[in-house]
Amino acid sequence: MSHLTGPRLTFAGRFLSDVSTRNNSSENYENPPAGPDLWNALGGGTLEPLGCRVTGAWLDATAHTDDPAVGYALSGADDRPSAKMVDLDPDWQMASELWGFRLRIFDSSNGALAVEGEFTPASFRDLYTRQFRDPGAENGQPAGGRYVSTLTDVTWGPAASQSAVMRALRDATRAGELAVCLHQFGYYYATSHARYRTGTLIGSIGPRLPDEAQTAQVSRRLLPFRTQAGTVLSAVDLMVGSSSLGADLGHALIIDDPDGTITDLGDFLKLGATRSIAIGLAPPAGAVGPLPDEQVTIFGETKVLEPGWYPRSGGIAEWPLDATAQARVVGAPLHLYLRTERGLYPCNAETAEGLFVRTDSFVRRLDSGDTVTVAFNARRLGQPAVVTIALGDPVSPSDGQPRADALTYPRQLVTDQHGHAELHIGSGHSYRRDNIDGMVFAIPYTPHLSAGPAAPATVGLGALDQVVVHQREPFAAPAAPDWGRDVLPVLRQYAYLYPVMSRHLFDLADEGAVRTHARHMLLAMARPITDPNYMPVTRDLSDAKRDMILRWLQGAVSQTNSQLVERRLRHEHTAVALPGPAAAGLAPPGDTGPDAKTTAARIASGLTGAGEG
Amino acid sequence: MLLIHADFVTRVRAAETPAALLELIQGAVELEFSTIPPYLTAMLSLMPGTNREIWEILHSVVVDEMLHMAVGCNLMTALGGGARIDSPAFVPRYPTHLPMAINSGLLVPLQAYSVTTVRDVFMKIEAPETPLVFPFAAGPVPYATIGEFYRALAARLGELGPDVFVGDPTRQLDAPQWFGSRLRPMRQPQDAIAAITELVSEGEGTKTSPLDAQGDVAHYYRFEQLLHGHRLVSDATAPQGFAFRGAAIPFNPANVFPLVPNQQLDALEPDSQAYRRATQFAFTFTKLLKALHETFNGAPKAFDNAMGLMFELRLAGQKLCSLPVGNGTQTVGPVFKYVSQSG
Repeated sequence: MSHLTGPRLTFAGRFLSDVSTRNNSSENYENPPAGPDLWNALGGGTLEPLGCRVTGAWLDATAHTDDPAVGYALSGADDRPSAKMVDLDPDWQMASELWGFRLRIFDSSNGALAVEGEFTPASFRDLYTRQFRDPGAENGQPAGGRYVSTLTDVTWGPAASQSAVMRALRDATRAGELAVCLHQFGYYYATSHARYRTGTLIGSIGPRLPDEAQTAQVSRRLLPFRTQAGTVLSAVDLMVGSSSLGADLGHALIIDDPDGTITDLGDFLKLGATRSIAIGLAPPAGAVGPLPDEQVTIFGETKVLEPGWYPRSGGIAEWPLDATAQARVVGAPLHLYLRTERGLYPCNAETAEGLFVRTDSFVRRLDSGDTVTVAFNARRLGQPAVVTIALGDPVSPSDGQPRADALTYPRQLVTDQHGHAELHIGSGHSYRRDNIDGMVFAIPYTPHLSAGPAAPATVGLGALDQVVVHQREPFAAPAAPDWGRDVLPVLRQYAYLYPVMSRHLFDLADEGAVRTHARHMLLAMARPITDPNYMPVTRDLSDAKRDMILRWLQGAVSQTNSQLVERRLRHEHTAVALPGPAAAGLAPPGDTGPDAKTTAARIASGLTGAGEG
Repeated sequence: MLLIHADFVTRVRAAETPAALLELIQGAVELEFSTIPPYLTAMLSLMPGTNREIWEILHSVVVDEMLHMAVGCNLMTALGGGARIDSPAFVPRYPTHLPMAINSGLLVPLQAYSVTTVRDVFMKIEAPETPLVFPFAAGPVPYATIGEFYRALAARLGELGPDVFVGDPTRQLDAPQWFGSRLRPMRQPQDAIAAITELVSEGEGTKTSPLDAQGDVAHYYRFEQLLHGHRLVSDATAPQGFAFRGAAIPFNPANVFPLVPNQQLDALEPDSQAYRRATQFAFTFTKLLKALHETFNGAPKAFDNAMGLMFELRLAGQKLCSLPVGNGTQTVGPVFKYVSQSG
């Protein structure tokens, strides 16, 4: 995304993610639930930036430290319910999405708006074990993920006009849009810790250029660098701009702690103390390092161990290129190097043939009879490319079985000269799981190199780079929905999965309580899915079932007095009998083993059997 | 005793223009709103799932105060102005004398629920000029109210006539799905007079009855029920026809969080769960103020966001107030403070 080159704001702070965890376990979908609470049974899904500030204002690859935007505050919307972080389904927890997030930057000294925009819902990607040296760290979640998305409906305020960098950003970006990137890592699971449910957030905002993907950075990619121990430098996304080369180094670098202190990789690999990370052309064939400078063409380097480099830069390294360098970079594979006191060590190589293919909006909810469209973007050495992409059969993660008839889509796509293709996926044979609506399917895809299908790892794709579809069951709603027969089975499951409702608001499984709150539920359930107040927060209810509940609620509302709330001075709630320790209070997290994200990140990082809490 | 400066009433009676009335009504809006954090704090101190009847009674009063605030905001819009809600100045720092009230009068804190709080704070906030006395055990205590202010306002609007209703009525909040017929757009003095009359009766009852115009028990007597532990019911044997001899209202004092009263953010360790939850609560509260400001300043549809934020505030508050703080003998109190971001 064009947050890699050009005018850019970088920011850092923490984030709150109050994800609910009972729905992480499919046993909790049973009646009554039989699974564990895990570490946040009472979560409500809120995603909120905490104490975030603009840390850098960058123009022409230079930090403008005096720009007034430095120090501006960054938050979510200040006049509506909070943004939500949501997993698709218990069978796919590795692509948490942000919904209803409006990002705001403002001058906290006077409240004046600088810029704000709506974050296009997107999933995080490129999960891997960032706290590589200490995967059993006290915060409990050593993995990190990255969001790339587009801010739309962008509004500029008076605090922007005082900032030269923001003025340049506004001129450079497509009207009403901006590009945004978020790194999240260092998340704390332990309920007793001061930082429980929070993690570190570092990010950047840049211009949105024409013909870019909405929720992905698709230009050039350097492959992960692995040693025997695992992935010590993850994939690096980079982009050649008009006079510079920009790369997201930050997300690729392993860190020593939840705060994001960059690991001295040279020291860790016993190659000597790290001096910098450098970008250049590929090394001579077979060369392993340390290489002297004369043997390598280097275009730029960054001292990533400089204190504060990561939050100040957003992890983005941008190196100016003169015309000669520009010409070389455009046509040849690039390579990342670790410079230590001994010399240059080749690390990340570019993808085979410079090929990089990535999807937009790859996490989808599909109702019976509907179709969803997933956009594919293909580049070769950063240029739009015509690429054949082979698609595999849909595989259900719950049992690893392919079910070719579950979804309807072609098994091959070819991108056009803009590097663009659309995959239309229609519903197919309806499969369901015990107690959970429908089934989730992962569709693997394989771009073709000139000689044929690429091994995904050679073109920078990992195990999680698949299209993921939750296909819901068909559901024929009765003309007059009945509480006990139709509504209760759906709402009771939500009551079990989200005890925050019955503990703190009202019991979704109690007809009287739901009738009392019917207007509020109607308000929340009738909103568009992008609204932060949309219910169910998890967005996992099919349209047909939701319509059925809405109709029942409308009936309930018209039956009751339209006066606000209960003039009744007595009201009886019968709480759902919460099974197990949750009824007595927050269950301690216990030793439930690594969760799906941690496991996925460990797989991505090539870690096996490393000690874990 | 809740006494306001007599000057407010004098100024209402002398007001000649809408603008002259707007500042005075802003004060009334701030007053109605300022009672809400103390009631909410008491509600948040009741452990979830316990003392629910008390919670419902407090909640019913909060809803009425919100409605009263909405009446004031709509009246300001009707007179061509707009309530100023989106501001740190809108929220007092507790313990506080309420807006418009004299400084030697009642000091209102944010504290956990107790019968003492009901008697010494809530009943004093809502007390009528001449409370009616219904049999219970002890004798009556005289209090003062801002009822006189509201009655003077209603009278003055009647005298000034329809010419002062210069505002665009579509900018007023008209939300029948939430307020039914209790919040109607005000186009002329009679609309405002009717709304104000209802508002006053909801707080105080009337000179002859503890019931308001809608037939519900007025706030003062609703709280008095909590004092005596029994509902106020019609009683033909009682001199004025009512007695606190109805159903018992159960109260278990063990199921009340020992909140820190008047919790300040800077009393909390910055790198702690308590601080994070408290700032999250305060930021959610601020978002609610902003949503209400937008609602009453030209975007009535923002009220839906306000409703969503009220639920979010409740969730944030209940989770906050269960958190032990300090040496563990108390829990964190809610922080009703205007803050620009969380964390």
